[in-house]
Amino acid sequence: MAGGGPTSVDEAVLARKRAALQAILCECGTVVVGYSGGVDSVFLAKAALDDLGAGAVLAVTGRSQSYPEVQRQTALECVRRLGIPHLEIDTYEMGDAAYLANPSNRCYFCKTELWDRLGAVARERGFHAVLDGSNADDAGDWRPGLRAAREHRVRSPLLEAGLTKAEIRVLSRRLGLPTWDQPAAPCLSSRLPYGLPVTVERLRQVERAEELLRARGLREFRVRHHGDVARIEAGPVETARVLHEAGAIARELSALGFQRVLLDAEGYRRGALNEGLGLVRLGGAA
Amino acid sequence: MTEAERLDAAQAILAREGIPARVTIAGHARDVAAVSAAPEHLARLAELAPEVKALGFRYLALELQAGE
Repeated sequence: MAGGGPTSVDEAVLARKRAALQAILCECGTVVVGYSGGVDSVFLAKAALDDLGAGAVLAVTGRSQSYPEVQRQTALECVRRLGIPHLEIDTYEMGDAAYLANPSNRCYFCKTELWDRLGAVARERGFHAVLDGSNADDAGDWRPGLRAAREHRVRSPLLEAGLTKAEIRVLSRRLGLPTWDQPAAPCLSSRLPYGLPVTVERLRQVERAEELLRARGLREFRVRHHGDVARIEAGPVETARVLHEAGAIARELSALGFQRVLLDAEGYRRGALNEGLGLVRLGGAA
Repeated sequence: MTEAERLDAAQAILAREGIPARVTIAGHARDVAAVSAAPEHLARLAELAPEVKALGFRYLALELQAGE
């Protein structure tokens, strides 16, 4: 399973956490959900719909050049299918020089822009709370975006309820959500190592390269942008496929402007570009 | 360690393991050890990655040749 499918769970623990989530949502009352179309935000929006009713939920997607079109299509399909009230707004992190410089806390600047705008939507439409889809696993990762969320009083009900990614996948599958086994899909800027400036051209190169690999059947992978080099991180199944089709893949990615195309020896791992950073837990310096 | 010394050391590790390969430096930050070698050596490269990365590289990767 590309996204890391459900494993065995403790049913009593899961039920307790789902009840905790419901209590948090009910405490919020009416909610704007930051909605990317990923596993977590789709589940959170659906849980809010089930627990609060359609009139109390608005899923909002921030659209920008760093948001992959394939992810946007998933997001739109899910709200259509599930009947979740939805709004798309434009966000302008690409107009922020601090973001474009691509520091290790880049996500802080992007999320500040996002939560500014979602907060405004909530105020204008009379929603009491803004929610994000952070989960319990995120608390131990390098997540400067969480600092922006806290500064904007954004709540993280999945994290507060203690729900892990694996548990969210289990619950998503039981609800019939199409995202239950979807691989993680962070923004395109996450493919650029810190310090390499974010440009529209580089984002498009990454997006196009990943589209080409997806068209070859790859699911769990990333194309990392190292200037004139594309470094592919692939899962075990995908690695075999990349090796088998190496010549064609190298040609296709070279045509996008990469002078060299590499396959990482260690394969795909979440947050690979954070390797070498001092890991600061949630609440630490961004 | 200079860049040339890092490359020599990486090359020596692969030679010690009997992997015919050429190692170059890649990437805007010059932190990728790019290995030109036969694809069947990839699994062994993965095992050797920590040792090669300890020389000052952040990534170890196999070069994909467009002509293959």
